[in-house]
Amino acid sequence: MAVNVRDAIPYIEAVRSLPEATFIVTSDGVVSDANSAGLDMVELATIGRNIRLTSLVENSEAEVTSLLHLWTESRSSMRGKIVWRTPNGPKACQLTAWCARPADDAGSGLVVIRCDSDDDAANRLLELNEQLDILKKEVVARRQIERGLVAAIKARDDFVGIAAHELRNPLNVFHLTLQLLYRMPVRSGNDVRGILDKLRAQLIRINSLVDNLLDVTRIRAGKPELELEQFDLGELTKEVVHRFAELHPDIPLTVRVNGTAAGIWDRFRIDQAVSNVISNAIKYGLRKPVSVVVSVEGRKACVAVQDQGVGIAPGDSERIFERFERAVSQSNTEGLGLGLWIAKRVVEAHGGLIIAEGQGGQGAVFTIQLPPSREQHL
Amino acid sequence: MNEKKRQIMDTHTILVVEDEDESRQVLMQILELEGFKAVGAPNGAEALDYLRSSDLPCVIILDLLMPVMDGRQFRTALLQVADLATIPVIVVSAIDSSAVSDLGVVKAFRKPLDIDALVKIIREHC
Repeated sequence: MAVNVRDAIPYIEAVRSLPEATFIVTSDGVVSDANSAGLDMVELATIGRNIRLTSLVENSEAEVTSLLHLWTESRSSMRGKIVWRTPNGPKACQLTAWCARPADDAGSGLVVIRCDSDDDAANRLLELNEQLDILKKEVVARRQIERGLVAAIKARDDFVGIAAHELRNPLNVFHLTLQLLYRMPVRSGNDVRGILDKLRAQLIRINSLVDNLLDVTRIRAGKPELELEQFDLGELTKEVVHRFAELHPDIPLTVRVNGTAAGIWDRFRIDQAVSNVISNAIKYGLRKPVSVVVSVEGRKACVAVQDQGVGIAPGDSERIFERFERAVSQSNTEGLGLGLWIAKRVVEAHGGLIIAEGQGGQGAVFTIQLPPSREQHL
Repeated sequence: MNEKKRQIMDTHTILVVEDEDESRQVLMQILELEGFKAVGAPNGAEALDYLRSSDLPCVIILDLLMPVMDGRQFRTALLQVADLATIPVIVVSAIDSSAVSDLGVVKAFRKPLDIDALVKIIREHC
């Protein structure tokens, strides 16, 4: 097909203005012309002096010849990778060549070279570095999560062990008491009643442990649900203390009520909170006297439980309210480490406060402060 | 009560070291019914006090998890005194018996306690 030169001018102009480096290359590899982008990539003086494409690239003669052979044979476009020589060193580029010669003529073709500019490379490096930083941070965060999970699994395993141990103790007493019942030669009504009381006390203990275990799941999801009613905190506390006195006849346990501490609270939950604080005082009280005082301070009803036991080490007054935490090492005390955690959640759900005070080896005072009703607190 | 039991009760004392009041008291009652004389201590420290001031028991039944002085500390203290180191110790604990393999005890029972097996072992030493 004959080409009118005038018709070709717009195409030539278009090629000259291409942003990609574009060269006219003969089938034997001689560079005969270049657009302005192409001229930027070579020394101006070399164009028109039969410079060969192989002298502009780092690729071997054989590689370039192979590329050009493919190009001339395919009679269409082809792509290949080349390494362009620049004053700043070699640069990886993409070569695209179009065969422009007629089928029966070994003419020239267009060769377009696309290379990343230094700015592009710098920007890409920057992006890669940013991505690397993000990945590093993700790795650190994931490791932190992993460590947290490992600690949580260990805490859970420890807790399961403690829970099993705690349930075994009252079960052991239950079992022993039954053995005693079997072995007793004379069973008067009073003897049997005393033994049944012991069994009942252990069942109450087992039940309380199971309740605390279930409360971990119930309360963890949020505040405990409250069934509010009006009652006197002093009366309730006296009942709780009486219950503990029956269970621990050898530990001096006293209760004093100053004034009427009436309010609208959840009886079951407040009983649980007061019980857990008293249980804690007995557990860590080294079998010394425990005193419980109910009073009214301003509008608040207060229960203060004081023991003379191991006390609270400096910095532990917050930690002891965490789940599965204990004031001393796990080797020598009983309990699930849940009592104070539950007590705190219950008291806070009523809009109240629970405060621990004391020093290591000098006993402790736990004070529950309750507003007369949750609504008045809010 | 037969003659043999009376003789054991007169001459053989068992020390029960257990912080759990109910466990200790009920176990002591059972041991009394089995013909032994039982004395109790709620922790290792009080048990040591008893041993320093009284006739030595023929067997010590020892819990491990106790306040003040736990079972391991108590056993270690016993081993440092020649007279006390030879008293047979039977561990009764809620924790795994493998935890006492280094304490040189006669036997380790896990709670809930198998009373018949315990009494059998005691009779071998009292």
